[in-house]
Amino acid sequence: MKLEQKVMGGIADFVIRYHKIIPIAAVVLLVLSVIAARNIRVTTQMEDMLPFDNPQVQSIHEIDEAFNSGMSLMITVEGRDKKRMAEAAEAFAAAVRSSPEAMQYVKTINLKMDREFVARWGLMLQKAEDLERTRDTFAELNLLPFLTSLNDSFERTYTGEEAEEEISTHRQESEAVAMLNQLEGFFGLLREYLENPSGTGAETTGKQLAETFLYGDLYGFSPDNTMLLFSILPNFSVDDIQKMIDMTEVIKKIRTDIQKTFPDLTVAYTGEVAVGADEQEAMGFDMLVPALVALVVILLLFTFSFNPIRSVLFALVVLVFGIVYTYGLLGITFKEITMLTSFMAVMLIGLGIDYGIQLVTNYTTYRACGLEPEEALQNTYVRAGMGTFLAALTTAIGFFVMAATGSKALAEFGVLAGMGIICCFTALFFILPSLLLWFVKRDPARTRLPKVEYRFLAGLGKTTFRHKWVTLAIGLVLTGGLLFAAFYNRMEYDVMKLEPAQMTSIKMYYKVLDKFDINIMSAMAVADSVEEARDLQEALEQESLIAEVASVAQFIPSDEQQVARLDEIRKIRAQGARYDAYYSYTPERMEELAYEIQRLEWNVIEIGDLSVAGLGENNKIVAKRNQMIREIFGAEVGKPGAEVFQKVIELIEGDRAAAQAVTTLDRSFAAEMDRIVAAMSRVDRKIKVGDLPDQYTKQFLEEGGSRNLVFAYPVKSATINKEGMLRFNQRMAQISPKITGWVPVLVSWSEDVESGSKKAALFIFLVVFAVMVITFRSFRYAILAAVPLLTGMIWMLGIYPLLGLKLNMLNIAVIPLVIGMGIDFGIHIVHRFRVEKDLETVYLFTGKAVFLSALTTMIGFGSLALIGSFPSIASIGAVLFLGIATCLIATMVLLPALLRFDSRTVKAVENQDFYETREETV
Amino acid sequence: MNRTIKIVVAATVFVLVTFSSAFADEDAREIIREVERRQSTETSKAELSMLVYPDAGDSGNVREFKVISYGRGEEDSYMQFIEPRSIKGLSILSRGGDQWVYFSSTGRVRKIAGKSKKQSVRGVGGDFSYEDLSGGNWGEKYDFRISSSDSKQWVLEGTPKERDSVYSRVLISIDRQRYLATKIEYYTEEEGHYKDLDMSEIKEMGGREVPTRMVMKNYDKNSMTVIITHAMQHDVPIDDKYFNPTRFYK
Repeated sequence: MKLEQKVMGGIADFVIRYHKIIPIAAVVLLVLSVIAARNIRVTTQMEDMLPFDNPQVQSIHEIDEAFNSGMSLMITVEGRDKKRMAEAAEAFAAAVRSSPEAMQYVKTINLKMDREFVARWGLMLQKAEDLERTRDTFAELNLLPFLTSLNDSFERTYTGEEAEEEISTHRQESEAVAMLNQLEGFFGLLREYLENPSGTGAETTGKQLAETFLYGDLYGFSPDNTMLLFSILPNFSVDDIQKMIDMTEVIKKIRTDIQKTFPDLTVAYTGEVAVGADEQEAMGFDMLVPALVALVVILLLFTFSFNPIRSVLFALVVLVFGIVYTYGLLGITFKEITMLTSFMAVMLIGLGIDYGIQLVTNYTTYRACGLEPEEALQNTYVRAGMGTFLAALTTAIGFFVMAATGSKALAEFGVLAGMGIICCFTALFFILPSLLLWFVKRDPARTRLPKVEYRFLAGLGKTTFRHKWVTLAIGLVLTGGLLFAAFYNRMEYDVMKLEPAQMTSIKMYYKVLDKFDINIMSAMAVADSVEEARDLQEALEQESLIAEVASVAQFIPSDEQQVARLDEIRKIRAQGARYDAYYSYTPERMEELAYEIQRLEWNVIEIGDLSVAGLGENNKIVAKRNQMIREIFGAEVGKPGAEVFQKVIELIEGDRAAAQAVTTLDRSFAAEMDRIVAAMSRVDRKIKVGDLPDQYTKQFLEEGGSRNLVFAYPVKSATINKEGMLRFNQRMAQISPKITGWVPVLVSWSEDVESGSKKAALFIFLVVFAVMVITFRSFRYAILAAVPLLTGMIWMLGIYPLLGLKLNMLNIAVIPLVIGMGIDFGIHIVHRFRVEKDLETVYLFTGKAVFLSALTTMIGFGSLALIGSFPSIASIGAVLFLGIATCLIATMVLLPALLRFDSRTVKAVENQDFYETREETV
Repeated sequence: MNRTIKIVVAATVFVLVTFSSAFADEDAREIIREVERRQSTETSKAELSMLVYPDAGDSGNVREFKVISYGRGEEDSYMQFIEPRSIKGLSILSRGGDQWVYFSSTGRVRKIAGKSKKQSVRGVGGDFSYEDLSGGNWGEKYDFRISSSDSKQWVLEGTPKERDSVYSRVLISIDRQRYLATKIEYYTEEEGHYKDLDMSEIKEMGGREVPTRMVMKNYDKNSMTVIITHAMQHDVPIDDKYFNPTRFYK
């Protein structure tokens, strides 16, 4: 103890001697730190928190370099009128194209299928066996024979003697829904025409009918036709955060304009680019606002806790100096802030102020006793300096130890936090006393503001000290109960739930998930060739966990397939006249037409029934069928639907004039069908990559290279819980080790954090305990100091699930921090107890400081929990708030009872009133 | 003399080895015959539930079907869906290699020709293929030998007699006491160990012991199908109309 006192006394002498120079040097250092901090970049990417040699991270970086991350910004248009939604989408795309500000960031816009491409190569994209059936359908293109062939084709494919297709994959489901959409569009047009033949006119309707059937829906509508989705691909990589933000800003402005033009629709955005930009905004808020709020609340607290107020202001200012020094160091070391380190400022405010409080509390109390400033400062250093230093040392060591966990994210966090603690402590230990000596000369007893004395802390300590058995019994029961409750902690694995729910991009993410049953955050793989992409696509399409696969291979069949298809296309080309220009609709033919439409309805109903077998009752085909016809339960009928077929049948059967209208329409329809089929069947060579429109080459192909990107969009259930993600990851790894994306990265990250956090907690505790044993030179005191922490941790983990809260991959990473911070309380109290050997004195001085220190930390993290816009970051605040609170309660209630067992040095001060006499000397 | 003894010993060993394997094959055939004898039935009626798990690891993603099923001989079967509600009344008649489907939603009957034996039964069968559910006895389709045995069971290895068999090899575990198959492992050339069928919860129904829970695991697709038998009757009269393509739906 004498050596400690000598060292601290020496430091006090140094500070007293140079108390005017130290602040000046501090300001110079501050300026240098601000300059260095300009090198820091902020990233929200999870892969940045994983080691570079992680295979998932390497794959992501490979994709990033060659394909600009494969990410996109998606625009959504919601409404009831498909034409109107398409108009809005076209207007949006046009606005982007005509904006140089937007186009500087845009690689390509995938608004819809390229019609010219479909018109030329549409037949080449069908399987040879389908083309064989299509050939029969194209043999006679007048409406009645066409529908008859269509029905025959459906029955052969799904329900007839040669039926082969079983609808069991998501791809088949999507294709079937697309086909139903085509029929819905087709019969919708037919109905409109029959209701008013002179309206749009036979020629226009005929063309529209032909295009609807042969080209299908060029836009990306949801199965229920209430949302249109298209994407804008950026020309920069995911690392370029500023461009991500700027591009999103421009798109938001365009969105506002389009929304005004189409007030009956809802125009919004989502996708990786938008989510990333919104995250930046939220994180910027979270980095600054909670910290400012915390500072203000702390200032108010201190105003009524300390005299004079100037001493507290200096503590806060010096703390800010310490934080700036930390960011200066960050600017020359890691140079980045991640999601895990984004709340560093708040954390350092909460932690660092501890040291300032210790110094200020002791100093002002000694001044209040009548000591001169230099003497008060000497006593502060000698009595409380070592305890404060030990607390800082153990916390810093604890953080540095996180570097040994093997987790890059936790190592970065630990090292940064350790540096921060050292910077804040050093600043407060040297600069603050200098300022106190230089500028705070007034007697703290002379004050106009009411001051809270916190005498209740000493009273509480004395009470539990006296009734130790009762206190310990209650503590044991509580600890046992909460230990049991701790096993009920649950983890939140749906990462999107940790994003700010109010962000437009997140709201739309969920809507797209519901409407399309597809997760837009895709898995990806780089294929070295089109053949490899094809193999991957085929394997992925068989997976029940994959909703959709997109790659260049869907446009480039294999050589063998192309040869077979060209043969079929040649046969289609060789067909003679495909329609009769003078085909007329007699009453008999109208009856047949009505029958064929009825037959088509039956086929659609039966296709829906068969889809239940392969895909379950709640599949999209059944949903679409029920919407366009009616709800069907076997022989029973449920809710009515659009009755697209029956309405046309009614018009045909009910109106004698319909025959003439159909005859006129048919001429135009058949002619247009023939023209399109003839154009499509002109293909006489294989399709190559060079034939693809820009929107596909830019999306899938590496610029100037042969590699291409395969996208696999998971189903909803694959990404909302741990089991789903692990299964997804496992299946993707079995298909190809090249597959990466945010789910594999998330799984890597969660494994990294879970094991890293456990190691970190253990390492920190062991190291801190070892340091305590060394500094106390006693196992007994080290254990006493550790008890509040251990019980506090158990209480925290027990109370957390009782509050209905869930752990997640971010807040579990900071649980080791509670160890680093919570241990300080025990160290301060035990150390001061060894010096004073008097409980009341300990809790009046150090107890008050510990209480205020904990309170300020809780305010800091509490502000994060309450105000933080990121649920993940707010949950970090909640865990830390609870952890500090429980450690504090354990320190104030349990520790005095335990100290009672130190019978050699206990001296109970029963009735002494310390503040009245002011005669207490040190 | 020594040479003579050696020849006699060698000949004896040779005969014993040859005939013992023949005996072993004969044993395997006998075992299979007995199994089939105990399981064969003229007619059967059953109420079943079928649970199809497209992803065996995800118990939450399941398609459940409830059917009533009638069987006649080895080749003829009829099944009608009770649940789910959307396909209630849908019926499938299989006779020989042909199938007919009656859609209660449209009132139509469609004939479907012979299917690929490897395919699932109109998708409804989940991981049970036509081959798995079709009639015909094991002894006719496979050559068996005893692969291993212990006090509780035999494991018979079957190789197909015909080239167009779906499976290149099957391993059937048979309970010695009951002469009941408890597990079948299916192997193919392409996939290797392709599927496993576990049969458990043996109960007496309709006068014979029946595994009421059958679990088929498909290792290629990582999927699973469970068939639970709620009730079963054997050798009871069944109206012929159920096996008549023009009347089965009436």
